[in-house]
Amino acid sequence: MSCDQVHLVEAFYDGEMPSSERDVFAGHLARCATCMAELDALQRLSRELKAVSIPSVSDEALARFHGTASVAEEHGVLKLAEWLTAAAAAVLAIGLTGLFKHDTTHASAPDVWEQAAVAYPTDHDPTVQSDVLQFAEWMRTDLSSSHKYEQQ
Amino acid sequence: MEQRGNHIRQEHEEAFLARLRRYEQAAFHELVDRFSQQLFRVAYSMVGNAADAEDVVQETFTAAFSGIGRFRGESSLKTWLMQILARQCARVHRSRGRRMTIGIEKVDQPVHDPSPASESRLDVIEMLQKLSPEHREVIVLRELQQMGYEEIAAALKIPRGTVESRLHRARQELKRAFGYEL
Repeated sequence: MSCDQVHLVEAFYDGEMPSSERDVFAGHLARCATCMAELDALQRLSRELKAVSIPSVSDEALARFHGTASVAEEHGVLKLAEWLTAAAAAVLAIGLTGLFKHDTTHASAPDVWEQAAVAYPTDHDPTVQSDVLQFAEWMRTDLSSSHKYEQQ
Repeated sequence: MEQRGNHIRQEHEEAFLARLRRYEQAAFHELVDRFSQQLFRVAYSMVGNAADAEDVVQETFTAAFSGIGRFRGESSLKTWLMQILARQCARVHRSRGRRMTIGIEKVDQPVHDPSPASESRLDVIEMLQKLSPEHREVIVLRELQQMGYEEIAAALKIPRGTVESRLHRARQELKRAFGYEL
């Protein structure tokens, strides 16, 4: 005696069959001796396996597991501290780099307007332009010093 | 009602996970209290004796504590722990295999506890040891832990279809071993 649906019994028994198919299959089970016998065998096997008597964890083993937990916690705190130190160092490094960059920008090349003010025009004539150049130099010095005061 | 219960459980598990990730000592001890017996039960069924099972559980906790930062919470804590446990059991079986190969001692057969035990317990544990490790782990997770197919698939990192076929074969072998008419 065989049934082409007997392979579905396990999914039904394990509660893994979609609910839409479950009712239909339950109807089939009620009429099919092969599938019912398979269901009985699965139930019997589960009873045998569940009846297995497994000892409890020994107190010594439990103490060892808790020991592992304590060591892990210490190790974890150290790891956390290492991470925080590394993060703080990174923040400090980024901050210092930014500060350094900010200072050097002002100390190095003059601004574009300053360069333009003191630059000789392309059609430069040294005899007629000396007073213009003097005025430009004065303006550059004056504006640079007022810019510094503002910063202070 | 059941959905609300699941939601509360999930919230509780997330809060618990956050405590573990902060390396709170109390959380680590709580994990040991919550899972020791379950893990030991599965380990014992898989390796066949208490000494190896205790070692397996200890290694599982060690690996879990050091790897908790990498656990992304895609599965439940229980599934994740079972995943680690299955790896540790496989390690024990590999080491038994190696010892057998070099012929130092014959340890492929489970060494049962000397403590008095019922015949049925010895029989079932012995029968489980006769299965292949792949068949044994699925039947233990299904029958002793009542885990669903998807959960087993996640714990063992195998497709759901493989879980179904291994479970079927494991049951067939056990039914034969128990003398059921097939």
